[in-house]
Amino acid sequence: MEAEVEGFAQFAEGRQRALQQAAWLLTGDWALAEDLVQTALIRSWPRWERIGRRGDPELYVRRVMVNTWMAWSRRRWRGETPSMAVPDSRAPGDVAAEVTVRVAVRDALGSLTARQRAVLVLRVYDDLSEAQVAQVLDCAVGTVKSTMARAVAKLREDPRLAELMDREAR
Amino acid sequence: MDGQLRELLEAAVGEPPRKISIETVRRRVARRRAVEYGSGAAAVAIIAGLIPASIGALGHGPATPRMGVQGPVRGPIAYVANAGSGTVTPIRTATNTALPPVKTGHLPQAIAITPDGMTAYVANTRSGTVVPIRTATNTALPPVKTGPGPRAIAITVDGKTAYVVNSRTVTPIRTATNTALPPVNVGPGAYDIAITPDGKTAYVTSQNLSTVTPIRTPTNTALAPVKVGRLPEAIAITPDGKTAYVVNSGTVTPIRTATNTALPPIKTGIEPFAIAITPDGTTAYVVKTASNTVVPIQIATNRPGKPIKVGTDPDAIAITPDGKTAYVVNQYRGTVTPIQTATNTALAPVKVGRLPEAIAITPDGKTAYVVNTGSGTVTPIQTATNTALAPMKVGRDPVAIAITP
Repeated sequence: MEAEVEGFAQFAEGRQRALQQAAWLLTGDWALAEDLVQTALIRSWPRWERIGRRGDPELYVRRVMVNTWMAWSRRRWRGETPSMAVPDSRAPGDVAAEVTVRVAVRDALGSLTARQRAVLVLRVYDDLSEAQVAQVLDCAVGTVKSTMARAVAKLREDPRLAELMDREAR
Repeated sequence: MDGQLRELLEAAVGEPPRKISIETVRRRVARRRAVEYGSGAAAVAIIAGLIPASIGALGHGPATPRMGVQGPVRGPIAYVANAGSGTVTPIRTATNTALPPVKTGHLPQAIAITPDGMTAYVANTRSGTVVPIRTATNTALPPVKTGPGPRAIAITVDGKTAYVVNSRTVTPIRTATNTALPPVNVGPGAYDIAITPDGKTAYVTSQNLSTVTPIRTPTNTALAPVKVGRLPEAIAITPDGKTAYVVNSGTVTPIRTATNTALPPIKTGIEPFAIAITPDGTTAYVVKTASNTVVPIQIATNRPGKPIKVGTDPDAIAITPDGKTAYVVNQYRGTVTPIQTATNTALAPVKVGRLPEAIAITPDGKTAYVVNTGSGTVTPIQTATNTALAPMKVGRDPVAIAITP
């Protein structure tokens, strides 16, 4: 029991930053991201021992996180909230450019459905395979493919994002 | 494309402003275990009660008892907003037949009906409009432009003004002429609204600022915002109009409406979500999504009772007009759990469709309509026997329901 608790605390401590970042991509809001990660950790902790035995604990926690987010969104499309205050940025370098990217990406992601957003974050940002994404979302691989295609097509329609990608391609 | 996208996503993600306290997570897990194993009700933090003045519709809203106004002669009509189809499906409750859908706009997700039952107002979040529907003919009138992202509506008891919550403003609409008045600023992340029974003040939650802004309705002026807890979501007002309760992330803040001052927050634990009050104003039922329980609160004392176990991820609740039964929608289980309010005991769950997330009860209390978002259907439940009738097909992703008086 103690080892179980320690193992989880270590995992949570070590991975919370990465989890929060993925959660921000899902929610577009740091406060919501924090709540989401916290909820996912609370839901995963009691099952930690079993999760550890079964293989990849992080995949499990991400699965809980994404599904919790989808449930939240289904409730009332929280993700629909159009861009609000400019997000805080403390990073050095070209702050203006960085904020531009942040706002553009957040707004573009905001135009996706919760499922499209989840697929995109899992597939592109978390770098999971299509089969893994299908497992996380409990759907067919074909659904992952088609959802991903729709998400990418929709992002292409976003002029600001298209411009940023063109700039990067050069 | 994928490589570029990945780089963009990585460039966009910043540093989380706050570190998550693992100690907090640990404490909350311990608290949840105490709840689940029934060993420490005292450790369960809790809530206060409220009644949303917003008529029907939002996922967390109970069916508000109607005023004694005569409805259309053909019996009440239930209006279901299909977020995915951009339509509203009227359902004749007398015969449980779905009528042809009415086109409204992109992403309709809130409905409110005037107390006289003549007009249903539908908020189209992505179009930035509200479409009035004449209930006599089920025809849509020209859309009324609101601010961006309208997501909640409430109508004053006199039926004269509909207040539409946009992403950072509130648009009052004169129902006589369906004209929008100048928007009232309430701050970013505006979310929910409730109006006092005397119709004099509308309270609007702002998630990003953790505030509630009172709006004086005769003049449509915003008063000083009241600070509440983090991520305030649902708001509702007691039938006597004396207290507004705000459900935050983990707490509930009562606001004294006479002075617009916040009382000390009541701790609830993570994810309290929906709340409904019995029509007599004695008990508030708070749905705690994360712990799969509903907590009854005595309003007189603001003391929580023993948590009532329901299904997985409960997220909506409605109470019959006689106050005898509360119906709790369990999203992941696809069930509805009736709770006898006299004894606070859960009855056997009633199977409905996939991912239900909204519920409304007819004014006569005989039928509860459950909106199955995942199935695109609505399941009527006979309240006398708690049996589900055949589901009716509506549009894609139905998310809200309101019933005429």
